[in-house]
Amino acid sequence: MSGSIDFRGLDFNGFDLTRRTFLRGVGGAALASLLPAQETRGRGRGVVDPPHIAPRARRVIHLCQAGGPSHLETLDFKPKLAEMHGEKMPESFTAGQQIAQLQGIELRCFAPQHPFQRYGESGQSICSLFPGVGSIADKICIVRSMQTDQINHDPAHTQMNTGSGLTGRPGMGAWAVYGLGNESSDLPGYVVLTSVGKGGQSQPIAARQWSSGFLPSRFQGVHFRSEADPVLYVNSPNGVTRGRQRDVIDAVSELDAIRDAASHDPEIATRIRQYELAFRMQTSVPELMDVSDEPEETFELYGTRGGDGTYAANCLLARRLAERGVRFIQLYHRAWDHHSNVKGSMEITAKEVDQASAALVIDLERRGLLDDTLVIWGGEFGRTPMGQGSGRDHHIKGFSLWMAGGGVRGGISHGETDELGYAATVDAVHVNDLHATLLHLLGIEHERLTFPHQGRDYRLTDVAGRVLNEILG
Amino acid sequence: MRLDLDDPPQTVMLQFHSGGWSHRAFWGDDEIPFGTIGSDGPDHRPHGALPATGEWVRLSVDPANVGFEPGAVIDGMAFTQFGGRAHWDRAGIVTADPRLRLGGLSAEVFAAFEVAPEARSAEQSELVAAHYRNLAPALAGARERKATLEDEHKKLEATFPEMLVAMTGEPRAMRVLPRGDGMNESGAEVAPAVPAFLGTLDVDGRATRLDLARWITAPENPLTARVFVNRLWGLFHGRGLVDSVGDFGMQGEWPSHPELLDRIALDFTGSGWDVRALVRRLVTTRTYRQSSEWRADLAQEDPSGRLFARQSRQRLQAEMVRDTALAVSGLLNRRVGGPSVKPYQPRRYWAQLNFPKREWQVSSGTDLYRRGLYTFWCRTFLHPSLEAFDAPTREECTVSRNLSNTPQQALVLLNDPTYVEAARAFAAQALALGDDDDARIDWIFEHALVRAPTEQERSILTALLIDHRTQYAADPDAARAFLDMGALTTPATGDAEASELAAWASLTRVVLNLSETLTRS
Repeated sequence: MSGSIDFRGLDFNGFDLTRRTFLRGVGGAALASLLPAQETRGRGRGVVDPPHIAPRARRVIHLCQAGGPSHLETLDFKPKLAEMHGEKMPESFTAGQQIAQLQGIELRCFAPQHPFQRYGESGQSICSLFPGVGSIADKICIVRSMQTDQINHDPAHTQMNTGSGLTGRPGMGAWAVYGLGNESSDLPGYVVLTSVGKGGQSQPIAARQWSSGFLPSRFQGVHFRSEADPVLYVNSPNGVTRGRQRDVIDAVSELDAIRDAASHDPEIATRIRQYELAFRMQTSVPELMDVSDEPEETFELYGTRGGDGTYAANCLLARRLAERGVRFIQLYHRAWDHHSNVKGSMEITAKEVDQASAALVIDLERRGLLDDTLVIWGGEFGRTPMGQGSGRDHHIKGFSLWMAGGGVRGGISHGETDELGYAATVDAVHVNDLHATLLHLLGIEHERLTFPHQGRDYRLTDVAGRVLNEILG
Repeated sequence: MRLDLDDPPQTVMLQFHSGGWSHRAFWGDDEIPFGTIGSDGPDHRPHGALPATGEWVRLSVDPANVGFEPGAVIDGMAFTQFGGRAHWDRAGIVTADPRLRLGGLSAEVFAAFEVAPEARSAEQSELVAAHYRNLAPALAGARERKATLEDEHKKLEATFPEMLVAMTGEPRAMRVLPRGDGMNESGAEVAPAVPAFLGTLDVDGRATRLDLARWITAPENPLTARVFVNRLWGLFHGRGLVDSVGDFGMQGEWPSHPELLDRIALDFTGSGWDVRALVRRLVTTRTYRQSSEWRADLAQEDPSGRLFARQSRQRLQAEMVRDTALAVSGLLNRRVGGPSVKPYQPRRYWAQLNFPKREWQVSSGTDLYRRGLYTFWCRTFLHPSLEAFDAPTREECTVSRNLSNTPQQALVLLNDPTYVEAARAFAAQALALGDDDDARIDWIFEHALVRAPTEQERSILTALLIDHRTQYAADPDAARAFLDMGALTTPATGDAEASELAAWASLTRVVLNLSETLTRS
């Protein structure tokens, strides 16, 4: 079938594979030396080369709080909601708006279940369940006016990743690697880590969330798991040592090279390159996942010794991935869908993420990485100011997230919701605007990074998106 | 009921239906949001703390407590719990009404009893007689026989393969949804039809799917056959006669050989839509049997292959990559039809799923080696080996697959137990069939690549073989570990044989990873 073959002959490091001549008629030992070595970390090549604008960030870490964390018990303090606890939710707020499981049920105000405090010199207002985030208050920008269009989890994740609720499009991770390439020579450019919380049901995440959509599949996210096989099939078969695996790959490449000379098939050279990369991943991935070389102090900072599949362990891995040049790192912590007992569940879930999220920012900063790493903490939507039993339902008209690093100013907040925390009323930020800003910080004009598909040029922000210049440093 | 000792629900609730469900009693925390919460009214009546866990308890509700007057008819009951695990067992009534103490008697039968035998109607007499037949000791044997026959009947019916048949009720009113908004009912009501620009369905009354099917396959409709034939041509030649395989419309591509397309399409419908005959025809043409070797003289005339002056070279589709390895190694199970199967898949690959949480239950025996087509298809987490080779998840209709080239593919072919097993089985065959190393290498090439190896190729493989022979001879434990992967048992062998087989399995692994093996050329 005619399909889209790697259209520039580039692999996921941006190396140009149309240069085949060097592979003709070589034996095994010489082969390895002829493949371009990546000793120095150069900028991996993407299609945006040179950047459209001066980049502020070189990589992104998206800490996705999956399930939809309540903004009312994290980042958006609503004393008026406390005053009106138990009263009917005024219809002026909810009339005509989408509603999820609370459909047909009488809507009543449900007070914030935990107190807020002011933190840092900037005096940021943050729920007291998050002292860790409080300790980095001066480094973060809190956005309280987020809005999305999708009120259920899978479509909302799809929108948060791809800019649209319709499936089949690439996520921001794939766009980032497509645009800028990969700075790592032996790890994928887009890596996904997942963890599950204990406070409430864990909504599932589909692998589609990190697919490359209609972009070439080498831009898809690769899921790194906390299993014996951290990347699928990364371990050689039993009884096959690294040396014997190398021998097999060498033989494959030599035989393929002979074929290449005879047949002029550009896929062969690409394939040889992929085997090389696969072999390198067989070492680089376990080496990345083995955090035993970290100093004791780091384990204390994150609150984990790693290797246990927790959110904290993933945050530590995220820093290691950032150091190794991975372009887009995405964590999913499946824990926030608090339809009941938001008070108790929040306590549990906050403990799972607070220390490590702050630790990641601090760790990046002291390693000189925070300035060019954009960190985003937030979920696919928020939760209703109206109670659902002892919990809250899905909510899309106003929710919160925070960002740090990568050109975003710290110690500030952007946007507001109304007095009950229902709708964004000041400086509303749609997911498209978030994406426009993210790309801008990466040095990409969101209207110019496109890909032709189904007869038109698509972009991450599709037909919308505004860069939030107000929050840039 | 019995609340689980370790994971009890927080709340249990009984609900009774009498015109509506507003008769509820609950125990434990007030977590279930049905009824007027906090009112303590009959539609949400607290009945105290959660009963004891880990033992059978009886929940009792006084009907008066949940809003029932004497004489009320209760015609439904619901058992509700909030979280946790529980066993709900029998429900019943405690009553002093004498009429209900004659257990199991319906109102009609009771009424028939109350009438004197001579005064009963034929119907009532029959009711009483039937009741007697159910109880009489003398008829016990007949009842047993009846039960046995009914059981056998049920068992027989269960062996019939089931076909899902949906019985339609009243057709629902379908509306055009403005901007796709499912909650907007302002759109015009529409009836089943085909797109207006393609014509109309010629039917009386409401069109059915059968009408649609007939329209799709009507002799006057050339589109279906042309599209289908084009797709098969594309499968065998790397590109269709119409390049835009999924679009035969105004934005699609013009056929490169329009008369040929028409001819094959007409013959196809004329044959009665015989796919097998079509396939046989396509693969016995001279065009199909051309070589795919690059030819200098064609570089000018047909650089992109649009004129099919030579065959195409393209990587196999995902399912066929698997099928090739299994076929070449002799493991392929060619059974047609039947339920899907589950070949080896990395542990906990499904860990991100929920509702319910589930694990991949690997198949066993020859089911492990069925064609890739029969792999269980989980759309949210497609089998990674298939996904690595661009198999679509099938969440959407996919007309053309990508032909990507990624390190994940290398990892799959090198390390997926399916391919390691295939290499092992392939090696075992070679060892059995050939007399010496050269003969075996020849056989391996002939079998996998349909040609003889060149001297250079032979020497590369021989070097590997000798090297790994030495290594595995020195480390028979590693050889055994290598041979033990997967369910396929290796016949009990001595150390020497194990090492030899392991070395040959290294060699066959190489062959199964070759670009040429993966590529239809």
